[in-house]
Amino acid sequence: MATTEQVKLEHYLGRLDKALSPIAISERAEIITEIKSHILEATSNEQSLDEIMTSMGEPEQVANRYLMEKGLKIQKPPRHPIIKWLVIGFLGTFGLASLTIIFLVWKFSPIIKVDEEKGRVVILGGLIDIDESQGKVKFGSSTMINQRSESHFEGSRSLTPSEKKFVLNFQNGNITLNSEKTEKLTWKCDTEGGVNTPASEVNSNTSGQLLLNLEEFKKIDCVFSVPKTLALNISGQNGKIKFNEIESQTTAQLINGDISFLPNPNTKYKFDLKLNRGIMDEFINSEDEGALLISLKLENGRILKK
Amino acid sequence: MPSSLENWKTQIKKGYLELCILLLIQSQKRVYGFDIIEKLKALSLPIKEGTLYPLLNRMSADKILSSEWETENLKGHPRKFYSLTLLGEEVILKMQNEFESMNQIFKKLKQGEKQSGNNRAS
Repeated sequence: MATTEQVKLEHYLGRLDKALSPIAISERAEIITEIKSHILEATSNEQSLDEIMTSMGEPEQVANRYLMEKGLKIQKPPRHPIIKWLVIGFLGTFGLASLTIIFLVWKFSPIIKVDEEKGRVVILGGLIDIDESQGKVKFGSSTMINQRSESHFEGSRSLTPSEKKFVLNFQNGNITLNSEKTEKLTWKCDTEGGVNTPASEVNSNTSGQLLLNLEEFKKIDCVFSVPKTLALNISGQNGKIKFNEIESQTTAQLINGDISFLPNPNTKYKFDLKLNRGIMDEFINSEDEGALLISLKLENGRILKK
Repeated sequence: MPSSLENWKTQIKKGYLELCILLLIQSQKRVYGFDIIEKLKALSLPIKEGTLYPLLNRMSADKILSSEWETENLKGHPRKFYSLTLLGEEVILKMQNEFESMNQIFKKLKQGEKQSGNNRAS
């Protein structure tokens, strides 16, 4: 008998032995010796091992015959090994996935917590922690503390007919935009932590855009008055952007914080709001064709109607 | 109903096979499992290994059969030889009587059916 066949035979007898476990060991040994003897006898009569095994049936079936003849309780047929491994694999994957989710929820919950009075926004269980009163932004393990190099600037600009859009970029802070009846754009800013000289100019570029880049400041607190002919494009990292009865087409992007939009009662708006995580108030869309498009995009925080 | 027929066949064969195996052992005096299978096969009464060995095991436990291992005079592997015990001889006699009487009843019934069939025909 070839080695592979011997292995196969031993495997068969092993399964038989296991399935016969309710029977006393000495008797079990005798049964196995007899079955082995039969198989060897059959192979020496030029039957192939596979043929004999097929004719004998599965070891568990044979064992059950013995158990039945002895009036013992029969064993359940074994599941195909692949099913066992599939079940183990599935349960393992499911278990790991569940543990990961439980861990993430535990680690990053609550998703967002806003403390209005203290000016504090905690996102993803403290992964991002914005503390306005201390001018501190914590992201993971790195903390940015605002140096208190404060400055103030203000100004205004009469719009020329070609100036149609106002683009504002900032990092951290509060921006308030009010509606202005005249053709004048005005601004008042308090800044902290400017790197060099505080750039305070609103520049005009060739395509009729007014640009104000306040990204060099660690924190800003600005109020703008915006004529209704001027479209807005405001982009910031962390903080609050507040639109007060604005009558211009508006686009705003913020990573963390609040965007507040108080609609002008006499103006028709059409909203395009995108919020990844957080709370969003309900805004009423106008079907009017001339409605102003308000596009607000926020990753984490709140989009409020106030 | 083929499934109930199969079931009936299995049931009737069980006791019948047991009797046939005992008769074979009686006639051979000493015989081992593989040989029983071969001899029954030659008599067109095939039996599965998985049926025979548990049956032999149970009859040994019931002391109807005695067994002994023989390791000499062979092609290298031991054989377990079975023979009837005294109790076995008694049991086989009773089994035969029982079977004979059952067969008689069967024959009578068959005969009666034939007669009543004939009566009806005439």
